[in-house]
Amino acid sequence: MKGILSGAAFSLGLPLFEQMLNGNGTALAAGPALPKRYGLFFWGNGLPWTWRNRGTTDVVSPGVMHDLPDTLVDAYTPTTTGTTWTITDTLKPLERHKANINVVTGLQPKTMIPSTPAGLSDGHMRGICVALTADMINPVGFDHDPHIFAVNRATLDQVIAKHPQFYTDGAPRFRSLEIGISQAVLHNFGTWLAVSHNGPNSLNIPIRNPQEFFDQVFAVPPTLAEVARRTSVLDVVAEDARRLEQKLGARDRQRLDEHLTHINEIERRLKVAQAACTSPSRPANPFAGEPAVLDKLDVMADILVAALRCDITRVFSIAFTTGASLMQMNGAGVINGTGAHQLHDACHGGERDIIIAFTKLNLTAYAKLLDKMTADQDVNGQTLLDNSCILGTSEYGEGYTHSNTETPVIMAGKCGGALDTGWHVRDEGGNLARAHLTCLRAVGIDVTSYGFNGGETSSLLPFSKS
Amino acid sequence: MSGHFRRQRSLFGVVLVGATVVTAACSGRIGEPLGLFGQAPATGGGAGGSGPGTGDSGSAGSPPEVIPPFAPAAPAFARLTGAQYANVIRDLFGPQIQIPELEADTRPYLFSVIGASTTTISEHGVDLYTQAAHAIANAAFSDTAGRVKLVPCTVAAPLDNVCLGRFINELGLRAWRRPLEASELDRYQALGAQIGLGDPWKALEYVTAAMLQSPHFLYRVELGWPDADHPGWMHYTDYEMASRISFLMRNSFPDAELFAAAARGDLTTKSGILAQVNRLMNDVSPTEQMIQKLYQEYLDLPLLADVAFPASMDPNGTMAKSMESEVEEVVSRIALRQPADMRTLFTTRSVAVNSDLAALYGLTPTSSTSLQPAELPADGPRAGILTMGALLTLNNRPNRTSPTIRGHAVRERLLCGSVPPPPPGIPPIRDDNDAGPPKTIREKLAAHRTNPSCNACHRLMDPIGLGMEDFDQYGRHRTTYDTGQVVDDTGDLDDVVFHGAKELGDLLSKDARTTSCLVKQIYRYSSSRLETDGESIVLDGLDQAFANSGYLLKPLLLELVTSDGFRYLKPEAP
Repeated sequence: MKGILSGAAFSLGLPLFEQMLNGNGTALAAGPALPKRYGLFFWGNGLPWTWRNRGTTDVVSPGVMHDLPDTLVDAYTPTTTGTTWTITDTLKPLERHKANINVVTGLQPKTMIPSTPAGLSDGHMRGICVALTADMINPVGFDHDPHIFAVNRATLDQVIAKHPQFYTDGAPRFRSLEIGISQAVLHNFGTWLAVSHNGPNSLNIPIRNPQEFFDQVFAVPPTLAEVARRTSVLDVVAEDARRLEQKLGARDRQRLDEHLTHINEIERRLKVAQAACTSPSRPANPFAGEPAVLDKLDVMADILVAALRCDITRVFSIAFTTGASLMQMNGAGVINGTGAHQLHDACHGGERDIIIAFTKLNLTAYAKLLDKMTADQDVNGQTLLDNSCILGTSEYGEGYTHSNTETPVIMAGKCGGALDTGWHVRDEGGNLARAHLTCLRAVGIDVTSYGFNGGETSSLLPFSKS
Repeated sequence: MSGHFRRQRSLFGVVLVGATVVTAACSGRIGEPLGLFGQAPATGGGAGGSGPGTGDSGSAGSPPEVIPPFAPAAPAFARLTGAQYANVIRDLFGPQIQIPELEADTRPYLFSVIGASTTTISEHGVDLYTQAAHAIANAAFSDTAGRVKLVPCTVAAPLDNVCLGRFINELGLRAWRRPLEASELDRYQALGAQIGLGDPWKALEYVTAAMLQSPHFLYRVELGWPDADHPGWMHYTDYEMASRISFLMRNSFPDAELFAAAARGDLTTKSGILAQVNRLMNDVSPTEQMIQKLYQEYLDLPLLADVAFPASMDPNGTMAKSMESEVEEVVSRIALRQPADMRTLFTTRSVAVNSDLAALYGLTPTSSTSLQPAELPADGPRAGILTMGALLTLNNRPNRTSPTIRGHAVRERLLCGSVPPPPPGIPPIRDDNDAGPPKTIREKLAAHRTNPSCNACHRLMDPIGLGMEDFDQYGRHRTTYDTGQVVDDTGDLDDVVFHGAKELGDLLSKDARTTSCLVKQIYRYSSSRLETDGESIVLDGLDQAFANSGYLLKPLLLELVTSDGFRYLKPEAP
C-alpha cells in the first residue's frame, strides 16, 4: 500500500505460536501440531550433461546417442548413494548444507505424450509441467509459439496451500507467496513467466521487485478505521462481481469467480490480527533491470524468511530463474545484463563449462536461501528449515539436449521429522512424481499416490518417514 | 479437421502456399494456431483432434474454396491491459496522476489484449488493483485545487446525496463505459453514506476507489444484445460499440462524441460507426500512436531495450530507442501520413535516421538526435523494414546472428505460419568445442538440413534466416565474418532463392501471405482474441478489401470496424 500508507505502524506477528508454546516458550503446548512449511526453489535449463548416465533411459528418443567425447564426465551425479556420498563439483555450493538436503538423481517425467496436437513432447514444457504439477502438458489449445496452455492443473505449492489438511488451524495472512529473482524470462506469458499456477491459464506471476514484495508482506492499513473503509469498499466490489457472474458464460464466469475469490481473500487478510513481529527494513533499491541476482536474492529471501518466521505464510515458491531462462553471466561469474554468456544459449550451444558455472550459480542461490532458513530459529527452537520441506528442481536433466531424463531433485529440510536428510538416492528412470508425493506426505497431507496421466506413483522416496 | 482452405491470392502471380508443405514429423498447421479455451480453431485439428493437416499442401492446381458462413464468436471479456489502464486513469483524473504498478501483462499470440482475455488474474494481481485504486483515488482527492473539477456539483459537508449520485453517474459513464443501472447507483450511494457523508471528500475518494476496483471497470464487459435480424446472434450494444471503437483507436474509454453517438443509437448502424471512426482517424496524432502501439507488440520492439550494443556503435546509449523510433516513424508515414501501399514497408528506401542510424546505415553523418527523413541508395544493401536496425537486431543470440530465430520471426510474425517446438533429445550445436578451422553459422547449422528430423521443422526457419546473414546481430552490413570467411547470404523462402535481407523484403512485398497475415494480426488486436473458424469469411473479406484499396491501412480499418466480426457475437454459453 505504498504511497498512501507509508510510515504506517506495522503490527505483525505470531499470536498463533504464542498460544501453541508452553510458558517457557521451549516446547509445544498440547494442541495442534507444529506448523510445517513447503517451498519450491526452481531454476531453469536443468543441469550440465551427465555423460555417465546417458543413452540408457532416454525413453522419449530411444536410440539417440550424442557425439560427445568420453572426456566429458558427469559433473553432477554423486558416485555413491545412501548417507555417505561425496559432494560433486556442480553440487559444491550446497556442500555446507549436505546434512540438510537429499539429492535424488535419475528421476524423470512419466506422463503420457499424446501425438496430437503437435509439440507435446517439448522438453521445456513437459519438464516444467511435470516438475511443478506431476501432470502432462495441457493439450487443450497447445500451440508452439505461445505455449500458454501448458499447465494442466495447479502446481504443488497451490495444491498444498489450498488443501483442507494443510492450514488446519486457520490460514495465515497469505496462503502462499510467490517471488522471482532473475527477470530474464524467455517469454512474457504462461509457463515461461511463472512457476506457481492455480490451474490452466491462471498464473501466480512472481513478485520480482523487492520493494513491492516488502509492501505486499509487511504493509498493512494504519488504522482500524481504514480497515473498516477498505472492507466496505471490497464488499461493494464483490457484490458487483457476484451480479456480473450471473450474466457470463462458463469460461468467463470461472475467470471472474477466481477474481472474486481473490477479493474475498484480500478482505480476509484485512481482518487477520497480527501481533508484533520483527520485520526487515524496507529495501531501498528496487533493483530495476537485471542486477546481480544473488544480491537480489539476499534481499528477497530476507523478506520471505521473515514472513515464514512471523507465520505470515507457510507456502512459497521462488523462481530463481525460469524455464529456458535467458539469464546472462560474464566470465567472472557475475550476473548482469550485459553478460557474455546466456544460460539458454549456452545450453543450446553445448558450452559445458558455462553450463556448469550457471548451474552452480543457481545452486549457490539455493544454498543462500538455506543459510537464511537455518539461521532463523523457529518457534520450537529448531531452525525454520527443520520444519520445512523445500523442493529444488528444474525442467530438464541435460538442458543441452532438451532431455527430461535425469531431472534434478534436491530436497531440503526435515519437515518436522517427517523426512530424514543427508541422502543421495539414485533411481534411474524413476518417476519424478515420487518427489511430489514425498513432499505432500511430509507436510501432513494424507495421500497415498500422486501424479496424473501416466505420472502416477505411490512410491515415497526412501528418506521419507511419514 | 474442418478441412476448409483459405483462398490465396497474389497480384504478382506468386502462389506460395503450395510450397509450405510440412512433413509429418513437423506436423500440423502452417499458419493457424489453435483456438483459445476450446473456441473453434480457425483451421486444423483442435485438442486431441485430427492429425497432420493436409489443408495447405496444395501440390498442383488450386485447392478448392470452402469457406464456412459467418458464425459470431463468443465474448472476449478482456481485462484492461496495463497501457489501457494507464490511459483510462489519465483521461479520468489528469496526466499528473502517477500510475501504480500492476500485474504485468502477458502476451500470448503477440498481443497483450489476448493475454487480457485468456489469463486469469492472480491474487496478487487483484491486490495490486486494490492498492492502485486507493492510491489513485487518494491522489485525485488530496489535490484540493484539482478535485473540485472531478465533481459536477458543489461539495459541502455533509455531502448532499443528490450530488453524490451525480458524481457516481458521471464517473460511472466514463469509467464503466455505460450508464449505471439504478441498483448500481444505489449501492455506491450507500457506500458513500457508509464511509460518511460528513467528510465529503473522503466519501468521494472511497466511492471512486471502489468503482476503480469493480469488474465493470477492470473488464471490458461487452456481452451484446439479441439481434432481431439474426436469430441466435447478438449485436454489440451502442455503448459496447463505442468502447470497442475507442479501445481500438485510442486505447482508452470513449470520448464525449462517441458517448453522444451511443446515446443517439448511432453505433448499431454501419454508417454511424463509419462516421465516428472517420472522425477519430482524421485526428492524426492519436491514430499514429495507435498504429505504433500495434506494431510495437506485433514486432516486439520494446525487447530492443535489452540489447547491449557495442559502445563503438552506440556512443550515447540511445541506439535501441533510435531503432524502435525509426520503425514507428516509417510505419506511421506509410500507414497514415502518406498514406501508401502497406507492402512498401518491405521495400521502402525512405527511412528516418538520426546520428545513430546514419552511422549504422553508412549515410551522410548527422549530429541530430531526432529522426530526419533520409533516402537509402538504390544500389545499397538496404531497403525496407527487414533491413532496418530494429528487425535485424531483434531475434538473435547474444553473441551472433541466429538464422533460426530470424527465420522463425519471419515465418510466424510476418507470414503467420507456425513451427512446432523442438523435440527432446536433440544434439547441441557446439560453438566452442569444435576442433579444426572456424565454421560459419551456415556450416554449424548443417545438421539442421542433413538430419531429417531436424530439417522437418528447421526448413521452415533456417533458409529464411540464412539469407539475412549479410547483416550481423546489431544490424551492421557485412560481406565477411570476423574470421575472414566470406558471408554467403543465399536464402530460400519456400523454394524461391534470394540473396540478402533486401531481396527477402522484395519477396515478402509480393507475397499474399504477408498482407493476409497483417490483416489477421490487426483483427486479433481489434478483437482481443484469436479469430475463430466462423470468422474466416470475415478475414477473407478484409483481405479482399485491403487488396481492392491498394493495401491502404485506413480502408482496411473502416472495413474491419463495420465487418460482422466486429459488430456481432454469440450469446455467452451457459
